[in-house]
Amino acid sequence: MRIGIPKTWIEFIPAPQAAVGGCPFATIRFAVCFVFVWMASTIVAAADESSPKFVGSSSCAAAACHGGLAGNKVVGSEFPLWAARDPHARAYSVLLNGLSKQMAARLKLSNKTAHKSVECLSCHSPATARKEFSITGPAPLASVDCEQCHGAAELWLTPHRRKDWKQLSPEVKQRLGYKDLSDVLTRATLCTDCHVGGAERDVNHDLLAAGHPRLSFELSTFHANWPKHWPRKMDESKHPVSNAKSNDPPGSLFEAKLWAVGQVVTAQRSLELLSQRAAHAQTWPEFAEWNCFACHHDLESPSWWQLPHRQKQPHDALSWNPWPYAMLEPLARQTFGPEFRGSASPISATLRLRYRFTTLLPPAADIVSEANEAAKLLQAWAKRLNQAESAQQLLSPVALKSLRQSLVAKEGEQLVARDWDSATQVFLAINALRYAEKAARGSLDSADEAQVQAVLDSMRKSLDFQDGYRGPRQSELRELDTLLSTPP
Amino acid sequence: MRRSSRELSSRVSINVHRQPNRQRRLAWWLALLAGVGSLTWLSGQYLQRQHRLYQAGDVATAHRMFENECWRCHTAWAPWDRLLLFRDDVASTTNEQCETCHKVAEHQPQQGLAHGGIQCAACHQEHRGVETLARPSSRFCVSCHEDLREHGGKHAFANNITRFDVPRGHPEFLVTELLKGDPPLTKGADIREEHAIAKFARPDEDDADEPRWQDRGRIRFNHARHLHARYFENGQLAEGLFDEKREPVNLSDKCETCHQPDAEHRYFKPIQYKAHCGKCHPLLFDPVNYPGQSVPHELPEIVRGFLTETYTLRALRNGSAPAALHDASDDDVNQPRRPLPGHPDQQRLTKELAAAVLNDVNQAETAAKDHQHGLFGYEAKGGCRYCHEVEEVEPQTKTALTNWKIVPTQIPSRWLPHSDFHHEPHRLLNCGVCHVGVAASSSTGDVLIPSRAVCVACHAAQPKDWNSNWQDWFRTQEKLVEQRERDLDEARRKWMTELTKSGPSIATTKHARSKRAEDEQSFQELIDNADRGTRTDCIECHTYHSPTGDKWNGPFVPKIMDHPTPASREAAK
Repeated sequence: MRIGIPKTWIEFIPAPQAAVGGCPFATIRFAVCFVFVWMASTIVAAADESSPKFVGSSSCAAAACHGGLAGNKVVGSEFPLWAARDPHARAYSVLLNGLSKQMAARLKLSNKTAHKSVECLSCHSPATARKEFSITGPAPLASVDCEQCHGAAELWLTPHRRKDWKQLSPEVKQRLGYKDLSDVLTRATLCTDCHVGGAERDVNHDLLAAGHPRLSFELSTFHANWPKHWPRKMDESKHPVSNAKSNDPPGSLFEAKLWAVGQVVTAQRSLELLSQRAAHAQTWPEFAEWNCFACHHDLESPSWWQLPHRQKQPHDALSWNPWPYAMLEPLARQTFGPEFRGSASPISATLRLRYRFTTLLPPAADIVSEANEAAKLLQAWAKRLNQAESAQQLLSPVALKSLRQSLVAKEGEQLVARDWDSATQVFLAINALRYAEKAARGSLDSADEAQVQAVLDSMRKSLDFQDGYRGPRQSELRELDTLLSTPP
Repeated sequence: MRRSSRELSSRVSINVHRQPNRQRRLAWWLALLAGVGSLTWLSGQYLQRQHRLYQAGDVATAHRMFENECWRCHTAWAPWDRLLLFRDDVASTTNEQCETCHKVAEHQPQQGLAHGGIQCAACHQEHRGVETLARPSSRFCVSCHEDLREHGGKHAFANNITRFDVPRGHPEFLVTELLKGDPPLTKGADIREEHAIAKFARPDEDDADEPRWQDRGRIRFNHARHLHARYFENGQLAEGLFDEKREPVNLSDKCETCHQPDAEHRYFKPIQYKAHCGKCHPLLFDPVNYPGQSVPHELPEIVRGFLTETYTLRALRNGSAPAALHDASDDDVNQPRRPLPGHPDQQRLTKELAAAVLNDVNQAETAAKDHQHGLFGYEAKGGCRYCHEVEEVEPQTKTALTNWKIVPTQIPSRWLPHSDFHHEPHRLLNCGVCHVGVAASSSTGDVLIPSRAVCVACHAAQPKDWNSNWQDWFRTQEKLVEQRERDLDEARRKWMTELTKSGPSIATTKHARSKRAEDEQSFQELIDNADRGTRTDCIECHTYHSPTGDKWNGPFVPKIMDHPTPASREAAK
C-alpha cells in the first residue's frame, strides 16, 4: 500500500485565508493538510486494494454536466451524442436481436441467452457482466458507456465535480481510476481490449462460426468513422508539431500517431492473444489465427479453390492471419532504418512466427514463448512511437509522405496483393497517412491529392466483395501490383 | 303287303335285353382305349422327361429369378376350388404373397365387394410365358366397368364403359363435355378443384357479359399472335414475330421455343417469364434513366424493394457530394466516413433527397405496372398489366410495403388428371394436329386440349372380322396385342444384336450414331406399317392403381435414340 500526497495536490488546497478567515495561519494550514492527507490516503489505499466499481452513466448524464442538449455544440451534450450516434451505445441491445439468439443457441451458452452470458457481456456491456463490477448491481442496458473508456468512477466521480479537477496531474487521476485518453497509446490499448480481445474476451473461431462479425480493427479508420462526443480539435491540440516554422499553420501529429501506434498496438495485442490461445491446449490450434480465405472459398464456381494444386499461388496456401501484421514491415523500415530486420527487431520476431503458421499444427509451446517475446518488442516500439520527442522525428510530414509512397512503390510490392487483408490494410494506410500528413502540415492542400484518390478508388473497386456468395476478387488482387507500382 | 305282328316280333330276339349292346360296348372299348392310350402317351412323355403337358406355363420375365421356388408365391392349391365351385377368380396365390414385393395402392376402395374381394392374380395372370404382368388385358377392366354398380357408396365414373373407340363406349372428356355445354357424365367430382377449367370471365374481356367455361389460367396470352407467319410468293417470310434484329421469325412450327419437355419427356416444363417471355416483353420502369433494364419478375414487395434500392443508390451517387475529405468539415459530429473495404458505405439521404427518391420510386412502379415501349427497341409491350391482372388493395397495416398485388395465375400443369399421357411417343405429330385450333386461338380462355375424337382418330381398332360382340373383338385385340409384343420383341432383339455387334465402345462415334439412326428408322417403319390400329386398351391411358400411389403406365421400352426430339436428331445427321 502506498501512501503519499502528490505534490501537485498540495498546491491546490484552498487558500487558508479564504477558507477559514482570520484563524492562525500555521495551525489551520496544518489541520487542512492533515484532513486532506487522510482523505487522499484513504482514497488511494482503496484504489490499490480493489479495483474501483462502476457507478453507471446516469451519474454523468445530468443536464448540467454531460447530459445537456446544446444543439450541435459538443461540450456539455456528450451523453446525448453518445446515446444517439455512437454504435457503442447499442452494444447491449444487439445481444437481444435475432442473430444473437441464434448465436447463443449455436454456442450452447451457459445462460442460454446472449444478454445474460458473461462471454458476450464482458465486451458488450461489462457493467452488466458481473455483480461485483458495479455499485448498483448488474446494470442492464449499460452497453459500452462512459466508464468503460474513462474508467470506473467510484473514486473519481467526486473529485471530478470539483473545480480543481482539471489541475490534477494525470498520474493522480490514473490512480483514482480515471484514464488519460489524450495519450494515444492508452487509447489504443483501451480500444484493442475488445476490438482485438484477450483471454476473457476472445472472439475465436467458435464465435465467428456462430455468426459474430470478424474483428478486423484498424484504429485510425475506426477512429475517424466513430461519431465522437468531443471536439476533434481537442485531440489535435494535444499533439502539436513542435518544430513547425512560425509562419506555418499549426500542425498536429495526432492522426499520424493514431495510425502508427494503432498498428503496432493491434499487432502487440494480437500476439498476446495468440500466446494465450496457444497456451490453452484444449482449443489449439485456434483457427481464427489463420487467414480466413485460406480455407473459406467462394461458394460459386469458378473459384480459385478449384484450381489444380500446381496453379495455386503462394498466397492461396495456408497462412497466418495477415490483418494485424500487414503494415509492420513498412512502418519498421521507417522507424529502424536499414536494420529493421535485425535479430532484435520486432519484425524478425514476427516473421519467425509467420513461418510457423504455414502448417496447421504449429507447436504450441514455441508459439507461446515467441509470441510473448515479439509482443514485448512491439510494446517498446509502440512506446517509442508514442513519445512526444521521438514522434516528432519518426512521424514528421516528410517521413509520412515517404512511408505512404513506400506502400505503393515497387519496393512495397511484396506487402501488397498477397491477400485481401494486406491489400485492405494498404488501402486504409494510404488513406490514413494522407490525412495524417495533411494534419501534420497543418494545411488542406496537397499536390498529389487527385492521384491518391484515383488509386484509392480503383483499389476500393477491387477490394469490395462481389454480390452473391463470393469472396474478394482474388484475380483482381493479383493485378493490384501493377496498379500500385506507379507511385502517385 | 301287310305284315302280321308275329312276323314283326320275330325280327327281334326275345332275349334282346340279355344280349350286349354293341354300340355301348364299342364306346366303352374306345373309351378304355383312349384312356390307356393317353396314359401310355403321358408316361411316354414322362419317361422322355417332357413335363410341359401337365405343368403350368413359364412365369413372366420379371419373376424368372425365382422361377423354381414355387413356395414364394403359392400358399394354396386352388384348382380344386375352381373345378368344384365353377369359379374362375380363385387363384393359387394370395394378395399377401404379391404384396411382399409390390406395395401398390388399391385400385378402388369398393372394388369387387360383390365377389368378396379381388385377388391380384385374377387380372395379373401368371404362367403365360413372356407376358407383361403389369399390362393386363382390358377385358378385366371391362368386366366390371361395362356395368358398374354402386355398393353403398358413390363413384365418380361412367357406368357403362366398354371400348374407347366407339361413340358410347367411353365417356367424352369432361373438359369437352363442359365446353359443349352438355351436363357432365361425372357424378360427384369437384370440377373446380380437379380440372383445369373454370366458369368465369375476366372483367376486362369481351365476353364479360356471358360467363363461359374456359381455361382458368388467369394470364393474358395470345397464341394466334405468337404463331402468326405469312410468306411472300418467293417463299420469303413476310410477317412474323420480330427477333432482336427486328427481322421476322416464324414460330408457328417452333412450339418448343416456349414449351420445353420435362426430364421425362412426358409433359412440359412450366412457362417461365425469365426464360420465355422476358426477352421480348421487358418490365421497363424508367426507359430514360435505365434504358432496357427491367424490374425483377417477382412479388410487388420485391419490385418495390428493387426500385427503392435503385433510386436510393442513384440519389446517393448523383445527389450528394463525392466523399468529402475528412477535414473538410468543421462539424465535429457529422464527419464524413472513411471508406472501409468489405463494408458498404453507410450514407444517408437528406430529407429532400428522400422525398425525391420516394417520388421516383412511385413513378417507376406505376410505369412498371403499365405498358411501356422501349425507345426504338425491338421489345414488345411489357409491364405487369400486359399479362397479369393487377389488383389495387387496401394496405392492411401501416408498414405494408405496397398497395397492389398480382392475381395468382393458376396455370394448370395437367389437364386430364385421370389419365397418364406421354408426349414422347407422339413426337412425330405436329402440336397443332392434336391441339386443334391453337394457331387461331387469341384468348387464354380457349381450351386447347384435344377431345376424345382426336385421340380416336388414331387410337381405334380396325380388325377385319369386326362384329358387335365386344368379347370377340377383345379376343382379336388380344391376339393383335400379342402379335405386336412379339414384333416389338423381335425388333428389339434385332436392334440389340446389331448394337452389340458394333460394340458399345464405338457407339458414340459419328458412324455408329448414323447406323443407329438407320436402325431406329427401320424400327419405326416396322411399327408404322403394321396392319392394325393404335392401342386402345384401358391401361394405355389409365393408371390402374390409385393415381396417388403407383405411377406405372405402360411397359418398359428401352430408349433407342440418342436424340430425343426430331429436330435434334436431324441436326445430328
